[in-house]
Amino acid sequence: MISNKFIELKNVCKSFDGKEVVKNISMIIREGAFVTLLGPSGCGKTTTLRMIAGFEEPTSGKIFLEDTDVTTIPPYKRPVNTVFQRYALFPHLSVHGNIAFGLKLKKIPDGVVTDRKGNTVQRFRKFTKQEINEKVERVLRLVGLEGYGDRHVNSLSGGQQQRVAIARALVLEPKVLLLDEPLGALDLKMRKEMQMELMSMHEKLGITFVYVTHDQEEALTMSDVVVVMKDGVIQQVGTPKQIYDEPANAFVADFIGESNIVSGTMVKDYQVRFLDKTFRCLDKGFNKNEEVDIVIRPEDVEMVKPEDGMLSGTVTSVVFKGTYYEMIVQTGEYEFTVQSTIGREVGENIGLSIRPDGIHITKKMLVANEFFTVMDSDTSIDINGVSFDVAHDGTFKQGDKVKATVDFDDVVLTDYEDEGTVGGNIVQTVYKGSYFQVQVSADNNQDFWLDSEDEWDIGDRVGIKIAPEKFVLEHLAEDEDDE
Amino acid sequence: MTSKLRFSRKYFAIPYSVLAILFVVVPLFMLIVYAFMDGDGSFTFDNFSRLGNGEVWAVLGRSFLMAFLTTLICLVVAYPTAMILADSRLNRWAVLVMLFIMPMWINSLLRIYAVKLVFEDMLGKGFGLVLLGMVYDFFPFMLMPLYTILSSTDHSYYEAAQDLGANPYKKFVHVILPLSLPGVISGVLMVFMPTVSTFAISEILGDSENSWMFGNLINYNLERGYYNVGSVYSLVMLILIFATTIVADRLTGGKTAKQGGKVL
Repeated sequence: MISNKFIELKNVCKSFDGKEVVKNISMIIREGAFVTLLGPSGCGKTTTLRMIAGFEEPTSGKIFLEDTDVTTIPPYKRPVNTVFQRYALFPHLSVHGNIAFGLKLKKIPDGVVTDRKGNTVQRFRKFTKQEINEKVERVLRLVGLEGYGDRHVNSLSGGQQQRVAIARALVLEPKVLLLDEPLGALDLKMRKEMQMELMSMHEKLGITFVYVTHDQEEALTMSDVVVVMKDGVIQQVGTPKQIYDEPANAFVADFIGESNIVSGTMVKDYQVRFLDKTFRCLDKGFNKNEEVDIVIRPEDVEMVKPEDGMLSGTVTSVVFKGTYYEMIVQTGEYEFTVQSTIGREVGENIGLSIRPDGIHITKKMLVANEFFTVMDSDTSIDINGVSFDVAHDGTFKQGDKVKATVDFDDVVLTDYEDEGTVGGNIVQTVYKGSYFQVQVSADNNQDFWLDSEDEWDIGDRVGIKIAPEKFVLEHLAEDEDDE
Repeated sequence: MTSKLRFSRKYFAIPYSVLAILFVVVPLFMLIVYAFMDGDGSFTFDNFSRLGNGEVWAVLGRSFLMAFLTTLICLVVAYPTAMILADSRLNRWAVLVMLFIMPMWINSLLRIYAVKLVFEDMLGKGFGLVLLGMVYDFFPFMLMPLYTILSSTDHSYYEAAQDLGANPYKKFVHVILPLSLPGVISGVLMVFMPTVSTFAISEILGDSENSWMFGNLINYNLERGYYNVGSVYSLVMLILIFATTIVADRLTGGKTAKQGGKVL
């Protein structure tokens, strides 16, 4: 089933009112695949889907469907159909009317004739009433709504409306079915049922499904391929198992399931050091002493006797989750989340043991903020229009091109934005066990990363302050800034 | 507690009930009584014999023609206007809507006199000038319901239509228009009903020849103290308007009332 490239996005960007929502996305979707775009709200997944459907035109970049450039082709000419988030069933039409809507508009080839000049001309005709009725009946049977044709769409339950929406899209026999969070409005039980049905439909029909969701469990259950997105950028593409077992970075690990994320260093191949202990692992190919993020799933942490563990700690919280216990174990500075079918007591001292295949090493996304910029005076640099004071030994002058580096630890957040050099909004926080890694989008359109012991709420207004002596400056050679 | 509250809430309806009785029920009652009464106050059917006069029906027909033309022109002009206004890309701060609604803040008589001053020399008094005044006066009543329904309709319906293969024309015919039908009907009613019974605009902008409306006829009789005949004509108008409302309601399955309420 899985074959050649079918949908291709090439360097696709999309901005709304100057705000970049999708940033230079390239991907290939193979024919017959079930691909899920997964990410938190605002990550650009729906916009990406809407560009494939044709409702939005990319600001730049190209979209190909079966090697045809469809970037500027309107939706009604594309061989794709969409199942909308809130179904968008026409309220003035019956179930039959909704499903037949597209069929009535469709023109199908009807043989060729030769005209007077001797050219062969492709003739088209519309579906006959009987053909339409047959197709509607067949697709209603497929979605399990036989005999519902005459019903009014508003008299149907959410699940039934969903099925009509799917039937309406499938009856046109599209080459690609696009689904925009189609199960979001259903209750949990209904959602599970529909997940199974969508999967079996996909198998039966053999067409390509592109599915958008923010529900990681849904994505992992249903798809062949998961595309994890954040801030308009693809973070990782892989099978559900790859995404779960080998997350590409701390964001993916944090977003997909529960995880413990620890900072550490690669000692050498197959050896990683974190929490002052050296562990065996299955990863290699990192630089010696490279700083990395270590991802450990809560179910991969084994609880043993204190003396048998590689780490030891104290249980600080126990929550029963129905089929397992979730416990927080304080190990030095770090809080481990552990899942087990055996519950422990709060205050109990235990040892923790992690098998090498439970330790996943990911590249650290960033370890320092880097700014490639110029000195706007002898003692300050320009960061996207805002002037930051810097301290140096006098070897830098106004107009010099420089690379300025600031460690995550050295960016300070202030509660009041006017106490900082520039104000900004908290965009993201990732808990790293003992501290939070925070992303701040500053008002000068510059993202700052920092480590903070305090928890910040997404959307909080803060000020950003960096002490002049914390900037590490390097001269940039003239030819280097082109790269 | 709750029973006391409910009890007291009933009193809120009293002012309106008094108004309704004073200005709706009593006049309606008087209208019917006068229609069946002669000058001396005794019961008679004589007043209705006036309806046998073909002239009366010709005037009524002219009123309906005027109302029909006014409604049609308003609809044809207002629909595309409402579509443009409802498009948030073109009407970002709803300023344009304000511009269209602003004339409603000024008393309609003043506006009609303004129309007279500006256009009388150009067009001359008569049917055409009355039509112009009517369209100008009632345009916002057509625009508002259309704008309301078009701007509140979920765009995903339009996208779904495109997605299923409808080009812009088919999308309009099969989705935009049918979904906006309640707005169309309530706009039509809000323009048609007041225009069919108008007399002030035709008084000011019309001549006595071809723009003498049914409303003028009623007014003429009442002004001269022929209350009984005036009542008969009013009753005819009332019944016709009532019939129009029922037909419109049937057409939309009772949705107009809701839509109209939203607009008002």
